[in-house]
Amino acid sequence: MCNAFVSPVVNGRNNAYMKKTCIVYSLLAMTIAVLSFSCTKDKVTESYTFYRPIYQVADAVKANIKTDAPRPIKLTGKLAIRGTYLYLSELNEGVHIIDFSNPRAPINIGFVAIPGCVDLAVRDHYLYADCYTALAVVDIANPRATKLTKFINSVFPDRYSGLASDASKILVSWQRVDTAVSYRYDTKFDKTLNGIVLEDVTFFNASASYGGKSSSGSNSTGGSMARFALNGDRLYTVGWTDMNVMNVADAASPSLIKKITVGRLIETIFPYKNNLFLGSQAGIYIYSLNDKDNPAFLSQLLHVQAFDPVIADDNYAYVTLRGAAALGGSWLELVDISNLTKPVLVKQYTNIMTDARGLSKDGNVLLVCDGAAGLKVMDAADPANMKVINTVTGIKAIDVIALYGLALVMTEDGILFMDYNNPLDIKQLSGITWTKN
Amino acid sequence: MLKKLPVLLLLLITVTGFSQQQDTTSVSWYLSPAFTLLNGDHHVSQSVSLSTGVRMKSLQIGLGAAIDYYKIRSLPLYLDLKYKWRGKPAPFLFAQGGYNVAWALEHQHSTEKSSTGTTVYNNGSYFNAGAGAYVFRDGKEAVSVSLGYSVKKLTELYQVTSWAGGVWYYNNAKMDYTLRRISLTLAYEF
Repeated sequence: MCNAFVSPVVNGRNNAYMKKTCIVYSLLAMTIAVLSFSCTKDKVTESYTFYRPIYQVADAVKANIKTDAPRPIKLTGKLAIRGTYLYLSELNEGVHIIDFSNPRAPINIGFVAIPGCVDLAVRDHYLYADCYTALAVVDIANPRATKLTKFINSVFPDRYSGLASDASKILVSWQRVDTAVSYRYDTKFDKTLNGIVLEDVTFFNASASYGGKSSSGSNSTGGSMARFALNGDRLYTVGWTDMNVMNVADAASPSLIKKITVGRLIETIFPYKNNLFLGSQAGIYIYSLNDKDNPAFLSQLLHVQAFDPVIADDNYAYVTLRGAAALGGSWLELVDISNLTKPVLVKQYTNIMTDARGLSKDGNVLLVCDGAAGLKVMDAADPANMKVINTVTGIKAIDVIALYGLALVMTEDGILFMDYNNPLDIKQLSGITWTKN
Repeated sequence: MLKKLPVLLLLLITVTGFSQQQDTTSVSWYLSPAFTLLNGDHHVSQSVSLSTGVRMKSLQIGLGAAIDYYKIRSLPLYLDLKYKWRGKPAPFLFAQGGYNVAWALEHQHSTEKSSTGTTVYNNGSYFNAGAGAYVFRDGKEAVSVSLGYSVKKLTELYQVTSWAGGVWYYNNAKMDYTLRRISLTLAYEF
């Protein structure tokens, strides 16, 4: 390798010199190569988005829980109807109060700011609404001049976890943060260190819906997809796996009686007579309220995992399911509950729904919201042989409340007031449109 | 830059440590399968490659493809350059650069990060350079050993669903990988 074209004597001396030089250089090269091993750290740069909670002092938040000027409706939550007033939650913002004494000309009369509000119910002239983990009690005797009368902390701990529940602060908004973090490839990285709240995301999978007759006595209308349910002087609220039992005999001052564990993946609660029907992604759970402070488990009927609001009448429970790949993804189930301890699946109405959501029943008329396919009107005179007799198209129907011939239909764009006295000829009386973001 | 200095020094020393006589053979094709041991960050793996091109005097230019199993499996596609000296054993310098096509195995996806349960890899870049020597030569057939520094890059994309303020947010997230290793290659050339 180290040739030179000179005399053999000189060539020999040059070769020896070159060989020594080569050995030195080679050893040096190998040393440097070994040192280069320190440049073999693998790196990952992770770019992601998280949401940072923004807090406000609790006293400031409570001071703002009162009727303010009406706001445009942007993102709906749940409905409650009491008399001729519709209480509509704006997700995590508060409650819109709508006067529909004239269904042809409903009026948005005010807005009550309640951070974290999703679910609500009304008893006498008191509105119960969740304020993240707390329960706010609002006097709505005069809907145009409401006021906060009581604030109960730690009623709904399911609302978020991984976040310190400091009663002196209330979560009011979320800040989007885009960030990038670099680390060695073989190390674990815990995103919660950056403030992401590990919220129970499935807690709010049930979209807003109420379905059923108008309120009897002092309680607001119970429905198919709500998480709050009033039965007599008791308020029952469900979380992911538990149920709160609250005494609202004194409507102005509810008190927590107990919290019990119920099923799993619970999304909705529907009271009917002296029973509670809990809809979960796993099935239906039926509880007896013979002892109103101690709901007793009667039975369950499981199904494939899907979103499923449920309503009931004297003999049957009606369940819409969506989100399951099986059976076309969406269908209506009829369950015989004549024996509450042994519910029996009677029939599955498949291939007539594409995106079934909230539902409501009034006599022999079953109204089923079918997403973009509109509102399906079914003849339920013979529940085991129901047929679709009319469809209101051109709307993305999400929820419906049937009120003795007046249907309040929540759509993607607003609320429609419809006359269904003649189910074959449903007329739209009026509507309130949401503000597009 | 400081981290790359030892590598540059390695290349410089290798060049000056050997004689400067150049190869003067005429233009011809070559084909070179190779096996590479990759020693990186707490991980040792391997790759197999095949390159082909032309030899012109001291220079060799070609294209190569490999299957690289280091941490995230990929297919580097690269331009292959080699500068070699005459002698026995003949030293050479080499450089490879090009595209790193992602071909990740199922368990190499970070599905636990994704709300959809799936992630997608995007292609990246590939680079490898170093020095070596031919330990056997017979006409156009040769066996060489080389030591190099190799970097490959990939990007993994996934979606994160957040529920904040009662609203679903769907955001795209990504992870940019830079994988660095020392490569020890045994190649056969003909």
